[in-house]
Amino acid sequence: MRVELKVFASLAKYAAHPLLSADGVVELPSPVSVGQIADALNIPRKEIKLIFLNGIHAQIDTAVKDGDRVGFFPPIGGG
Amino acid sequence: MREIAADIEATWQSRKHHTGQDVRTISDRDMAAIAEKHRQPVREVCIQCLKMGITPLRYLRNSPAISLDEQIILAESEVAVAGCGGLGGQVIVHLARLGIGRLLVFDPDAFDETNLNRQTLSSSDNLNVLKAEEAARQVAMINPAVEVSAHAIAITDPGQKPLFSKTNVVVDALDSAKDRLFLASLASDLGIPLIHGAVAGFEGRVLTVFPGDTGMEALYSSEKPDGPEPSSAENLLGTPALAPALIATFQAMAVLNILLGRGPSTGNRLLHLDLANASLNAFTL
Repeated sequence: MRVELKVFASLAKYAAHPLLSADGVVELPSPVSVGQIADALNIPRKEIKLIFLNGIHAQIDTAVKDGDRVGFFPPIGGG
Repeated sequence: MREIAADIEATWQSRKHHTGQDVRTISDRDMAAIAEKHRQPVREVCIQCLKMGITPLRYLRNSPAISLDEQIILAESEVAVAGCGGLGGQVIVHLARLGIGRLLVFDPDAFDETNLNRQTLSSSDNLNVLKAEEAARQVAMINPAVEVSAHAIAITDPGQKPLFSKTNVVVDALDSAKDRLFLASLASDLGIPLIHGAVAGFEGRVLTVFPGDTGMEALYSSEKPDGPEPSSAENLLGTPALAPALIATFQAMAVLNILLGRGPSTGNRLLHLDLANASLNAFTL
């Protein structure tokens, strides 16, 4: 299945992973959870503070289906 | 007040608005002279002018984006800004130019050289000066019709609640998770909307938090089941001037929307902006 992934701020460095296409699409066997996408792309789970699935707040164990959009944020606190 | 109105009536001048209409206007200098004569704050004279349909020249180019009636609402409002650094300094400047009548500004720190890359109130000649006091000094120069209460303290104590008894909106321009969560809980307890902003690198986010919303816990709660909090992105990416200026502008707009009852009324909507990729994403918390 194909999932669109966006990695923000200090997590953007993980977008260089070969499994992730230049337009931010990753192909994975289903079924899969948000956390398993992070694992497949070598994004340490402990660096992820905030997860969105199709624009809505989600958890690390939330299930992902074909065509979903996933966003990962680190903590952001600068002022 | 009747004597003040008479002096205003004798002082205003007609001027062509950029839309082509003739409007009644008054200068800062004349408002200051009337305020001094009657021993009243400039803010009071300014509000009286607005109520008489006379536009202070300094607000002429706010209209019609901001109407005369809306300018009165702003002049009678109070906004508290927690943090006078990269975000807070820019928010304070925006709110002063918009004409918010009363500002409470909070920051326990003084400017140092590492602030100069981004903090708009900092300069080579005010290093070691308390940020809150410098904010008050600069606002007085930008807009004498704004009254500023400068507090060189952190907001860490529920006993500080009485400070906010007249506050309409609180701006979170802080830089630590713990302080942000405390401020959010304080604002929620007081029933005051809070405008959260945070930056890292060329990115940043803004969130309007209404009393009872739980969005800030999602952003900053330390309840992570699998170990300690990761390093915050601003420490890994730095904070050049551009993202703080951008996010502060969104925060000031959110303040304006709340005070004037405009814009999206839904809470828990997180806006993330990325200058490097010229992108804006909205998320639901």
